[in-house]
Amino acid sequence: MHFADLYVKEPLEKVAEDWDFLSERLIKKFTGGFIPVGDNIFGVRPVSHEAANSVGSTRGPLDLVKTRRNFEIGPKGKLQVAREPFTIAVTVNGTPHHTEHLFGYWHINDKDEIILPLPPPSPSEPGYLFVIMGVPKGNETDRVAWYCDQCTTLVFLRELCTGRINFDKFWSWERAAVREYNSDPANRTCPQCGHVNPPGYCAFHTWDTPEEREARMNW
Amino acid sequence: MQNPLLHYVRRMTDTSSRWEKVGDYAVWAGHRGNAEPPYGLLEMTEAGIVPIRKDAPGTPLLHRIEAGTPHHITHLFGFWHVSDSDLVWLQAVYSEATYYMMTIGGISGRPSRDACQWYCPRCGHQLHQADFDTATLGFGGFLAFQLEGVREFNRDRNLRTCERCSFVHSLAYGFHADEDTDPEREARQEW
Repeated sequence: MHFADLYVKEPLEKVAEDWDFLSERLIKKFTGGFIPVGDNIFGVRPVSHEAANSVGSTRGPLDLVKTRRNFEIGPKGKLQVAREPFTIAVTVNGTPHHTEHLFGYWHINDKDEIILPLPPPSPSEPGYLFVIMGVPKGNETDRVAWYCDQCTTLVFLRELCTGRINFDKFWSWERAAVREYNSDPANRTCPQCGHVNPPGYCAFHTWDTPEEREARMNW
Repeated sequence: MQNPLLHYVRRMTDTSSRWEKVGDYAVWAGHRGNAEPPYGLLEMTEAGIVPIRKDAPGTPLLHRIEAGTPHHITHLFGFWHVSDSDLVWLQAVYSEATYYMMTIGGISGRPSRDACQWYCPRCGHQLHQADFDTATLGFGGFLAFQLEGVREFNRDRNLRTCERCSFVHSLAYGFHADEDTDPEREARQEW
């Protein structure tokens, strides 16, 4: 075998400490949030819930619902986009996107997102969804937005310049933006058609108020 | 469902195995059946060559190749690639096949420099390097450049001969198997 005589003799863990983000030691970190490492931010989500009503019933990783739907908003309006096993999708920067039961707003960022669902490797294990996106730099931002369910008019939006801060700050900002949106029905009322839209909810289900948990079950 | 205009997909199950540029990333995906030798990631470090792989079905492998690290993937490209951008390597072993994804990029404007390197398989001495200005000429330009570099290396036995231990390196091959000549196809099977 080529190069075999040049292989390091030490165990892999000694020469490349974090060589596998899904190792027993690291997997909880990557399933519990979005972790910046080098040029990219990584998120890994076990797909373990049969239905939405069990999401958030226990503390733990940000597991996904098998029946969830994913949406993007493009020039022709709101579209359901497929997330098929073994198929890499890229949500292009600037595209509003929403995943049911996972985050109760439309995320719009200046970075491209790579998304890959993989089926369970065995009946006793969950499938996984991988999300990889670039680390924002300079004036690049993240936005959370709400569009009217009825007519897709922009109802409410908040923006954070994540290129100039540590990305970890996104989560407390996201929570504040969701709470602000939910605090007044006027924020949720469409200026175009008058429809009152449902409350939003954060990515971390452990932060849900009863109102937010109900919203998580519904959209 | 409507066909989303803004959406890009790439299937790991496809038989085509080409790099594609999408947004800030170059993306490659593929799979190997159980009868084929698996792809294997090797990284060149100061301590030596580090093989990064999982062979048994189970939780997939997700690995960051840090910018600046020479890396080679057996049977996928016949040189050591170096980029000024991070790469991501994902390997998922299932009972019927092993599936792979590799990405380059994440930061706007990167990769801006790429290189192809060759090292002596016996003693590790560097034999040859070809550098590319990806910032100016684009990742598509690098795809053409790497094949030219491979063929230059294959044409010149002096480039393939180690000045330290005299070992002669095998022939090289490029990123895309459908562009292989017969000798390159043989080399792809070998290493």
